[in-house]
Parts: sequence; structure tokens; C-alpha cells
Amino acid sequence: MEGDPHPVTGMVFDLRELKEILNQEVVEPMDHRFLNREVQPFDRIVPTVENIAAEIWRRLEERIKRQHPSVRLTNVRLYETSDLYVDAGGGA
Amino acid sequence: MNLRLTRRYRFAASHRLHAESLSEQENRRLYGKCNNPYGHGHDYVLDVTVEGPPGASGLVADRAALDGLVRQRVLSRLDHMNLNEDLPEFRTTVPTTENLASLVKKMLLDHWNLPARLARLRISETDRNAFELEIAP
Repeated sequence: MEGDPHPVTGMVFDLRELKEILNQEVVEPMDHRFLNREVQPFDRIVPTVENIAAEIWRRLEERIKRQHPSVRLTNVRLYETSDLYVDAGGGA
Repeated sequence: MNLRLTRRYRFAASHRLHAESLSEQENRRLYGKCNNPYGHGHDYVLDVTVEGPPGASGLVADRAALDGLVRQRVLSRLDHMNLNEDLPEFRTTVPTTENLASLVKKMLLDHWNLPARLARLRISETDRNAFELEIAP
């Protein structure tokens, strides 16, 4: 995420709130789930690490834009193994 | 949205940093112990980043095709090699990891056959040294 530190708290984003957002949007719906059957949209598209990273990006980006217009989500990095990861970003 | 996939590879190689155009004394001063006559080794870590749309397969790049290309064009030529002696490319340039990154870029781009674009290379020489090469579209 990217933004100016809040003039009072000195934080770009409240980490407790970020943790809550990640729990609600990503961890709770996806953790210990069979992605193909239990998590949308992977009933329709293949749950590759690319598609999962893109879906996490969409969920977070939409919510952060709505609740915190001054902060920008810049990148979501999803590791599949320690030797393979995907970056989903808002770039070109 | 922009998607980039990064895959990590490892290889071991040795090198000696010594510029032919400089005197023995200048080489020692510039490269320090990296100029010792018989070289030294590194466990290099190479991160290859490709960029592109995931398409219907959901894959930015086919893993087997990427691994095959990197193994054939890069790892088979670098792994367990003496970079100064075994690579003709380093007869005239010093095998610093900066130059190694450029060589890896050339090794890959000369034979690139994947639909995704090569976007970035990163080679770390030790835990404290890494070199990144961003490849313009």
C-alpha cells in the first residue's frame, strides 16, 4: 500500500484494520477451503496462483478504495511455494 | 491489472574479479580479496520474472516451459562452472554479478519463446548483495 503517513498517528494505514480486512476478505473465506468448490469465482475459473492473486487484488482494492480513498493498494504478492510467487498490481 | 510471475532458481559457480586493463596493484585495490588469484565461489539465486495476461489457462507462463528454457539456456551453462574460464563471454569482461545479470538476460532473450514477456531478473550473490535488471517492454 502507498500513501502519506497520517499527520497524527504517523501511519500510512492502521495495521489492525488491515489485518481485519485481510481476515474478512481473504483468510476467512479461503483458509482450509477447497478453492474449486467453495470459493467464488474458482467454481468458474481455474484457481492458479495467478488467478488467486488477481482475485485477492480485486477484493482488497475495491474495499480499500471505498473506505480509504487517500490510500492506494499498489501490489499483492502471493507465494505458492518459496520458489514461486505472483505479483498482482495496478500498473499498466 | 498487471500480473507478474516470479520463479526462483539456484546455481553454484566460481569467479575471480580481475580487469585485464588495470595493473595488478589497481586490481587488488579495487576488488580486494575478490581478486585473489584462484577465485572463490557463490551460491547464486536467480529470480526470473515474467509478465502477461493469464488467459483462459489462468497461467501467466507455463512452468515447465519456463523451467526448461532457464535450465537449457542459463543453468546448464552456469551451474558448477568457473565463470572466468568456462564462459567465452567473460574472456573480455569481468564476471561481476552485474555483468552476469546482463549475460543471463541475453541468454534468455536470444531464445525467448514464451508468450509472456521477460520483465525482470534478480541475481543474489550472497544474502547481502543482489542485482536487479528491469527489462523495458
